[in-house]
Amino acid sequence: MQSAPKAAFDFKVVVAGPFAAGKTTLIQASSDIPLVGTEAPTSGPESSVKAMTTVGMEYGTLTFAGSQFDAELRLYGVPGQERFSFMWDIMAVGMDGLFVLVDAGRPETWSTSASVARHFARIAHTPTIIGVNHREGDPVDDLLPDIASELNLGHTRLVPFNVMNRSESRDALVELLIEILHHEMQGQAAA
Amino acid sequence: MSTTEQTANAQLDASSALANLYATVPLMRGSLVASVDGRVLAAELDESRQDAIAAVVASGFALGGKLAEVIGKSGVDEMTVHTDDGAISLYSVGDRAVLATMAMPDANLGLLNLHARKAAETLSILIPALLEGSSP
Repeated sequence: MQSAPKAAFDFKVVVAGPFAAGKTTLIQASSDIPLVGTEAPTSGPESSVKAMTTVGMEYGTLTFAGSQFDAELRLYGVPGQERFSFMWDIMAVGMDGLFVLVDAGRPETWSTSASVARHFARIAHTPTIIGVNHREGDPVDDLLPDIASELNLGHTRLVPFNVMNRSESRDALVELLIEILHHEMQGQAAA
Repeated sequence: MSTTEQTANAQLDASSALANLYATVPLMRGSLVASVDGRVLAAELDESRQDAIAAVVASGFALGGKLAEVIGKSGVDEMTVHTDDGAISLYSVGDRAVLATMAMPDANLGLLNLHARKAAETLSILIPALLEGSSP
């Protein structure tokens, strides 16, 4: 007996968030293929935060082989600085899900995460996860209520993880995949 | 000479290199030098959105470079976008900056190319001091 062919899904995910929140590291850590990136040396005040920054876009893929279906996330990273927000608009075309990074260790950047999330929400309402990047051993659970109230994004879920950890990064993206699949099924049920 | 003085001199030299380019090549709209991370380092351009242009120039040049790399060649020296309203050309200025030139439809792009490359060479010496000026 031949089994029915497995369903295959393919989703475009945009990874966004403030300057130096960990977007490139997340895609690097979780991608199945070597990251295709556009990093340039920083200048001005930003050079004291880190040496390189994404100025164009970056690309990676993440494939899940399940028993019921296979899914591939195409990950598009965008630059964090507001001056590059035109790249956010370009990358938002056709996106199926949004992953917004929050740097738990830099509360002064939380409001920027919120405004980035809102920028994308104005373009397209897609399933969204807020990935709360924290260092190993940080008491992130204590911070989550503060982050949630600062972001004020309704029911959007906050997923704490460490961007330096490959399996935690992949798991955080699985959370977004689940949200996207839920959304797709609701769409089909409504149709 | 102090760092501030060096920067101020470099800014003057950069402005005169761009003004020189404008004077030498007929039918130019203007030009701008952006750092590779999208900040304005110098401009000779009647345009209020210089900051936005610098960011797009840096992204565009990085993506052009990636386009070349993904096909197998690394390092981009120059790229041009042709439009109904003229041509925009980007030239590498060392590895930390990009020169963007904007020309009107009937401009002689061969002439522009020749002089823009010379200007990029002159500018590349000034970039360290210009970057210093935008540091904390």
